Amino acid sequence: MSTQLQQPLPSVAFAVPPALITLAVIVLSMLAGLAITVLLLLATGYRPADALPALWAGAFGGAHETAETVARAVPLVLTALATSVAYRARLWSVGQEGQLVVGALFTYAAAQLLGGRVGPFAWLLPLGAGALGGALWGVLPAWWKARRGVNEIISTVLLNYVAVYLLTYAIAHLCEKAQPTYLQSDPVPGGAWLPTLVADTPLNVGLFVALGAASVVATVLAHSAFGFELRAFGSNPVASRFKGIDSVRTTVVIFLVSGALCGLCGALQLLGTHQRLSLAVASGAGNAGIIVAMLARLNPWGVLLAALMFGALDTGSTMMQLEAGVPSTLAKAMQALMLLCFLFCELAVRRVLAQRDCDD
Amino acid sequence: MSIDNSPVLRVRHLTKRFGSFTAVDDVSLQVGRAEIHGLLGENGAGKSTLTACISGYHSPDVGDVEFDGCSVEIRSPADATRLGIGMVHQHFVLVPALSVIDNVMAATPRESLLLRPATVRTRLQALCARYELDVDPDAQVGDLAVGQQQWVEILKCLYQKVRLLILDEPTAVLAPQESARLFAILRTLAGEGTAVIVITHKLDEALQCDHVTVMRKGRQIATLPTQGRDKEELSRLMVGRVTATPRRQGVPGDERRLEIRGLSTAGGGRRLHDVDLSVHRGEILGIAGVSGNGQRELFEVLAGTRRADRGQIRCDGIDITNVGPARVMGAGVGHIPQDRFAEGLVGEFSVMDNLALGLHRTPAVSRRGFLSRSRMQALARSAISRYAIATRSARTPVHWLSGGNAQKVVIARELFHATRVLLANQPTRGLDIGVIEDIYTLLLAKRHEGFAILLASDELDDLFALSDRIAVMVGGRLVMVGDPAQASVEHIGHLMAGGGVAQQASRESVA
Repeated sequence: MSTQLQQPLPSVAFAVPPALITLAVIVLSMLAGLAITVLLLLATGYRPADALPALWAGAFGGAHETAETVARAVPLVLTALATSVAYRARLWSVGQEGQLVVGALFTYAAAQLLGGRVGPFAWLLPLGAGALGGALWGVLPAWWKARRGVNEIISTVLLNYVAVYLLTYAIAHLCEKAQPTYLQSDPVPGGAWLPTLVADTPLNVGLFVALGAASVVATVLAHSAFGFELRAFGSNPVASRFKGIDSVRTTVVIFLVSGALCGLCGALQLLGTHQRLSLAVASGAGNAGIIVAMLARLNPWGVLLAALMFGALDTGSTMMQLEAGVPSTLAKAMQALMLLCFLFCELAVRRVLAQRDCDD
Repeated sequence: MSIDNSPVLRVRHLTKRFGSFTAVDDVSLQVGRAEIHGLLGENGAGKSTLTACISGYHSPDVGDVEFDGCSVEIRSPADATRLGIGMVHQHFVLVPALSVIDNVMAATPRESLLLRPATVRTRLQALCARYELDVDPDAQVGDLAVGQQQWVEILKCLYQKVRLLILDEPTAVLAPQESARLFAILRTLAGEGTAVIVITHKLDEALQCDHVTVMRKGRQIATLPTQGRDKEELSRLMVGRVTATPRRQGVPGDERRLEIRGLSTAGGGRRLHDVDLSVHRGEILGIAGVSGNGQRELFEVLAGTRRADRGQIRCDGIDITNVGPARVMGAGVGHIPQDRFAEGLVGEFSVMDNLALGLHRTPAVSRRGFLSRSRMQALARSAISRYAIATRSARTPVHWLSGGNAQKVVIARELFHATRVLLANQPTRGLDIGVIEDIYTLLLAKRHEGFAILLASDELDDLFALSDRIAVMVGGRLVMVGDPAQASVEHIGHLMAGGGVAQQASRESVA
């Protein structure tokens, strides 16, 4: 009755949907994005028949290309997982980039400290240090939010800047034998470099770290008591508080986990790709992770798929530029188009579902 | 009231569907120029949807609306305002941070380019004087008592000289005396030629109207003049059968299960002042009071989600003051919060998950930090059958459930772990009579088992039937009345309106 008036519209936010809908939405939005890309190519005078096969060949044309694509997807998987954990709890952190940078800083410091010792797993401890660094950087906004109600969007954005300036400062002033002119440090000791999986490609053991993280996050979210608390807290913090879920503790733990995943990403980037501190460490993987996570509807398995697609667009666009002359920045446009298409698909699916509920 | 006057509103064969659900099914009625017309029905009977179609919030699928003898199509609330239809919603549409004048201006279609607050003030003062309303036009709406905010809503309509005034459950926020005054004012308005529609589920109020249309499940059961009718007849029409509030039997024990001493909160919002109270084994203590007088705060402090600044709460001798909700639950206290969807349930979660909420770290549903699906399912199955929760499956999101079934989920969950005390804040608000009876029967069964039950409710009659003792909450203080058999509704109403305790500045005008 009066409930008819008060009933909120079906929330467009990130409710946990059945996996099939997730998959359908992702695939649909990819196809729609691709279709618009074709129109874009035609409008700008390129031939899709040349460009798209080149894009595909560049991404998955051979073992080498595929390895490159997967390697590009790895950091995105981690930052997108970090985003999923936070956003499922409706904590709108955008501090992934900063946490990643601080993670890389911690990793570098740990690698330097352990520099002399070269064991088969000399990269493990620096990796852990990276996770720790990211977690510490993540816990600051959580603490402010829980204690003082500071909006996490603002605090995390600001901390991103602080992190990047810390990185610049570290490179310029702290690193021994730094090369201030190039703004890059010495490389980390060779023993701490991540073992590669496919020769002559950037694909390294980071892949297993990412896959492991995805399965752990998926399991914890879906099956653990903590995952249950996280989802309940995100969906209705008031009811959760009434049922004994401590909002301070939950917020802090979520940011710790989210930060640790980003820190881990920074560590992998440093030990696997860059090997030295430079501004390239802040490569934008943190921000891209947010888009990937949204595209995956905050589902950890969906994150793997969406990250792979983004990696493919990155690698494939280079080939597209070489073969078909299409500017590689088109890849960025495609990513953005897919996100937009996704948002529309999401809305459409919600409408259909809401309609079906009414009809039942 | 004579019915020879030509109707100002005529609704013919109005039908409104949402998907395949028919909210209003072929309703026809007419309201005379000087008539108070009651719309009586349970929750979900279609009363609000019907008026929403008249006031432009919904457009009807079938049927037409005639206003002042002309067929009209009301497409938006603005159309309705232009015609002279005013609506007072159950949940007020006011801006708390603005003054009464500002709120009135915001609701009025602009007459000229400039706002003229001084003119508005003069006209409002005139209106207040005419209807003997005690509202300061310059007061900030957020500072007014809930009852006064209701007057502001009505002033908004009067200011626009509405021809038809629709009120949705207007007495939900009023003490009995205030309700009487409201009806007196409505009677004056009707005498001056303003038609009034009052939506209500209370039989007393329906009887104060000239005509009443009874609705049940979207259908119009009857439209009849109220003269010579009685409550029983209306109740039978409304529910379809004779109903009775279950009554308690036996006497409570002597043992104090819940003991509250000098409980005070000073934090933001409304406060509690030195609340003393004890509930015995096998006793229901009823709390009457206009909502917003500290009931919510009292229940929150007891449930552990709000801090007490002074005082002590003991459950069977164990101190549970400020120990947090988890340990309060652990002490055997169950809590049915006032707003089931906002505070009791996680809407997106399934029935099963909601039943496990709060138990998710106990062996009942989890093992070593991981949830056991089989245990959760077993728990859900037993709760669904034991409390007769109507749901398609245990995996249905709880926000798809009707209010009554959602409330049963809350109750099932709370009674799973509660062993000593049950805190029930408005457990039957907005529910169908059938479900209300079930809930009362359940409360009495728990009373019989030896629970100490604290029950706050708007329904005074029910409080009288169920409670071993009654107390009134006003301005954050608790006034004990005692045995309901010795007390009268008038006495309670007097206390609810602030008589008998030091008055709060904001409530003075109400008394």
